[in-house]
Amino acid sequence: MALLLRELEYVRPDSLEDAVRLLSELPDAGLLAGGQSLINVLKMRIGGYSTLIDISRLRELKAIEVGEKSLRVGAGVTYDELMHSMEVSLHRPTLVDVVGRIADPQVRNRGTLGGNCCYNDPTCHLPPILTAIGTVFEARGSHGTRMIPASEFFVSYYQTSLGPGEMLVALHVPKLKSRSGDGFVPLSVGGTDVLNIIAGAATVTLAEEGGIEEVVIVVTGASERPIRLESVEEGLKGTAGQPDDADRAFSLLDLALLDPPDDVHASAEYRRDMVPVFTRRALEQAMKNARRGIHD
Amino acid sequence: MSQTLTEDKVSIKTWSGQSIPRKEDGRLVKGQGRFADDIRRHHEAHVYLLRSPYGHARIRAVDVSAAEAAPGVIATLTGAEVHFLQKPFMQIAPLPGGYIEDYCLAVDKVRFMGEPVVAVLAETAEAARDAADLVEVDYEPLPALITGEDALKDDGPVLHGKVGSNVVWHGLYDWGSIDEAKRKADKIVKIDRLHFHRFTSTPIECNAAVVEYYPGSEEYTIWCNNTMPQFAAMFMGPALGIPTDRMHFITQDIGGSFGNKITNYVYIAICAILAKKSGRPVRWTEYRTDHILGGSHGNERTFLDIEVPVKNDGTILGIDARAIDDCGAYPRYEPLGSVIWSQVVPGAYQFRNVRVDYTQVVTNKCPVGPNRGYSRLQHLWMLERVIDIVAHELNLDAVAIRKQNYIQPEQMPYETPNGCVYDSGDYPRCLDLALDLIHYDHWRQRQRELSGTGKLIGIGIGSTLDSGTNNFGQARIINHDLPFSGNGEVSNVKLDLYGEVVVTIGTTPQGQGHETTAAQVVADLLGLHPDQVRVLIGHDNGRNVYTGFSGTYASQFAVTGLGAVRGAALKLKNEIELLAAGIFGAAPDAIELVDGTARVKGKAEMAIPFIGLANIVFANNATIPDGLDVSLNCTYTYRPSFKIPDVERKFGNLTLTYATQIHACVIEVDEATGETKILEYGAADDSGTLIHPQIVEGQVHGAAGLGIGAALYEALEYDAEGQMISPNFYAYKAVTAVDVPMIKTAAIESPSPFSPNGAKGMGEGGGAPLHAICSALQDVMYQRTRAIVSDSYNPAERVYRLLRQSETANRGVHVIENRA
Ligand SMILES: Cc1cc2nc3c(=O)[nH]c(=O)nc-3n(C[C@H](O)[C@H](O)[C@H](O)COP(=O)(O)OP(=O)(O)OC[C@H]3O[C@@H](n4cnc5c(N)ncnc54)[C@H](O)[C@@H]3O)c2cc1C
Repeated sequence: MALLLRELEYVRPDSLEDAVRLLSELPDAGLLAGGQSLINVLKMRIGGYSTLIDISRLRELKAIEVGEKSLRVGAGVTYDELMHSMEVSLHRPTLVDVVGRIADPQVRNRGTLGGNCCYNDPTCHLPPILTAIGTVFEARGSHGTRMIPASEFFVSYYQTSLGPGEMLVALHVPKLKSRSGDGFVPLSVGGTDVLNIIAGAATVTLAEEGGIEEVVIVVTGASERPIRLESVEEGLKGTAGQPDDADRAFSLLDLALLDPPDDVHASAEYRRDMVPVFTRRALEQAMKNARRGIHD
Repeated sequence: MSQTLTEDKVSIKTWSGQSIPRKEDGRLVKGQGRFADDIRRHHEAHVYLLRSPYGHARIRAVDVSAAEAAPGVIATLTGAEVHFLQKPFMQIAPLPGGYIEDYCLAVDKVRFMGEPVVAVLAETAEAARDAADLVEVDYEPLPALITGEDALKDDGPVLHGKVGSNVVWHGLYDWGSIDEAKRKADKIVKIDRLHFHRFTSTPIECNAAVVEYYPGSEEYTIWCNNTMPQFAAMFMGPALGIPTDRMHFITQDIGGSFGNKITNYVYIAICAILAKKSGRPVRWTEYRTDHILGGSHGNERTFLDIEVPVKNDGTILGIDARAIDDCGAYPRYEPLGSVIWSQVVPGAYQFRNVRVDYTQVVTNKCPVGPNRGYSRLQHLWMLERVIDIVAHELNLDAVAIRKQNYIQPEQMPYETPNGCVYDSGDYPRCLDLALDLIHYDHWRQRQRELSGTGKLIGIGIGSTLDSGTNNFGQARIINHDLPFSGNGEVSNVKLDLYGEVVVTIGTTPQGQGHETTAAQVVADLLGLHPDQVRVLIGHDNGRNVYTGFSGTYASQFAVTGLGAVRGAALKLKNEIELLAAGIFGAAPDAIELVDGTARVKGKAEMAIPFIGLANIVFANNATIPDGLDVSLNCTYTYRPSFKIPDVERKFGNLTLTYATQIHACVIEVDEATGETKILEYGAADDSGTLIHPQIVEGQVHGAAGLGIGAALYEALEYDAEGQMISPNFYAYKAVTAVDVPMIKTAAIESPSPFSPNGAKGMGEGGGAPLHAICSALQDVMYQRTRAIVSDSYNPAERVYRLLRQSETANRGVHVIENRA
């Protein structure tokens, strides 16, 4: 069936360099990665580009490299490719689990990590978990490369801190440290998680004796961007992470941080109520994973 | 009907009753199905419909000049033109509801978001879409009417001025004596309000049509996926001034309908006008968003002031209620739903005093159309809510109260308070089967053990009837002047030139496997293997095999369709026997049909294959035995025996068969979030004699899936301005296979004494999952806040709220001791 996009130009550069150049040269051009979000938006004719630069086949965006402290994952890696990456399974297994939950095989075959982050829909899976684990985003523009921490990358609904002519080329994902674990728990509808109403993500590192040494807790769906529950994190640090400790820490949750949307999927009030529930579940999952590491 | 393949092969008693591989599946799984959008016509043009962004607005002006000048545009069509070219579609409602004027494009006002306003015809779909952006429509927004209750208020907007109010139809149904029942009762349970929400069934294939006009014969050929084409013709013919014999409808494979495609004649009318105007074949395929916005929705119904007189032992004496049904902006198939619910007035129960004050209103929402379980499921849901609420308020067991109040098998056939005759069934046994499927005793025990641990288990039951084979005479209860009654379907069974057996039916199957079951029936009668029987696909009035009722809707194929096939096959069998008897000089009853031959019983050498018989009649007819008048081309119309209902008393037999569907489920509710997880799901069915058990089970699965989706995920919602807030799959979560739990099924067979083959229509199901899930949620609430599950839609957030309802809040339920 004909997709009724507005007529537009399509280019498919052969190299990353060309893509970056075209992006700054062509007026009103946009990048097409997996197209799983962009095409839907163009179909609705809300806004749009006059040229699409197809980056889905750029080899430079497909690499997964293992560094000393982190993995460098190309922005063009698809969910399916990520799920089958030994390197990622070994060094940040949670990502394999998280992308494996996205939609269905068709979407996972095409959708890319870069597209997911740059689209930055509040229901997307990756922004919360990538923020929690401290991902750094490598952007390239005509002025060269810059590194953007997750806390600055996701700006607001559908907005990132990428500037005009700038594209995301890779994600630097810290390798999972020993005695550490991640957790990701969304509130979704139905048997798969599409349209996450709220998503909690967490990472913890335990001290040798089992107490919480480091912890990051993030939630999406509760505000325009992924937010960290720093007061809760502070309350947890140094504790044994037992239910009582968590009760106390979550009582410190700074509700003023939350400014959830009110939409067809859930009211703002309900979303607000769900923040502690899903972040705490994510924390518990992270703790479990971290402890499993200890006992291994 | 017994048959032997050949003497030395294993003998199979009948093909009917066996789950043979479906004839349709080969082409469908290989991608060889042919759907409306697969039709290609030379020189065809494409329609794009520009739709209203408002729920309610006056159209001040429409300017199509820029669009008409755009590249590739062939023609446009506006409401002003339609006003001139079309008479309003027929209204089923009597006056004043009948004053509603419904055109294929909005004429002076738009009355729902998504209502088509301008049609653009262009060389390509893209050009039509692009040109539509150039159309200028000047709207004056008007206040929107969103709820059925608001539609009845005096100070609100009136949608259709000439009617004088928003009421499409009002009627008082009153059977037995509810007042006396209230006097005799020990208690009266009052429920303030129950609300059945709006959802739809989301066929995979949206609406589509290709329409071609031949000026030479003034005939329109309409390839489409309408599922009741002759009903469409009745609406389109007078409106467009086309004699119905000039409308040649052709349907082929249809990718689901669930009733939703019955009312797509409105869109086909647009195509027909454009086809004549442009002289080009016109193609229209609906987009998903357009389908959700402007396809057809299920009826939303609010029940108010429900009063239930009961005895202390749980005997329910009757029901008194007000119902407000919201049919959206235009009635179309409505207000038929305002009587169709009364096919199942007491549901599965024995009470005999019922009063329902029923009003149907228009609102600024998408028009409704029949939707799987049409109009009965709303009522059956209300009844099951009542049963559970009564059980809990009186501290009675939810299973016991049902068994006690169910109509018992020995009462069958059972005449209901309004004269419907339940043909057969064993409701208590179906309930037991459903409970066994979900391990009822185990879960009741687990529920007690888990009490206080924070794990919330709920067990629910939904008892429903799927009434099938309508008596269209019930339309007269709505409008005394309607010249409709009875029902019927036609089939033709013939030998083709080389003896091939070909079956034609007037139906429009959408997955129900008509080709397979029709072949089973014919194979049994003519001594063939079902593979030797060809069943033509779909409805084609060019084949001359149809009645005004033809189509596939309202759970009736097994009765009307197969009844017609059986009648036609028997006629052909009779002709074959006469012909063979003439050839061999034997008596007709000495002829048997075996393996594609007619032969004299016990005389292997006196046999003639069907090809030989066909040759004699079609190509060699000087050899026909003297005095025989056979055509080998036999048509039969099946007519169930119905009478015209008593319209004053609203009394009479409205449907021929009543299949039973009793579902039971176990759910776990997450107290922290309100999420519902289905742990066990069981469906026990009684569809009478089963022709093809697997097809029946497939229908059960499908109906269960749709019901589960409706109960937990799917709602078509509008905001106060009439903006639809769920116009695509991003917001409307249509149920998918991964959302549906393992469904366990069981079946019993209580043959219908009224149908030709003992079968009952069963495809719709009675919405049992909605009832069962609400019942299970109610079971959960009574362990906590005693909140009433008063809505049929229960997403996590709503359940979360119910779990937190204050103990002192008004629950909307009162039990009044009767001291009279
Ligand atoms: C049916 C369905 C269900 C879905 N369910 C989920 C779900 O449950 N969870 C979830 O997280 N997502 C879901 N998605 C969205 C999916 O994950 C998308 O793949 C993702 O949002 C976008 O990735 P993409 O590669 O397809 O990007 P595209 O759609 O091609 O692009 C999205 C946006 O990102 C920009 N962009 C892409 N790559 C770059 C880059 N390297 N640098 C700068 N900008 C770039 C594009 O210009 C565009 O604006 C679903 C999608 C569909 C169709």
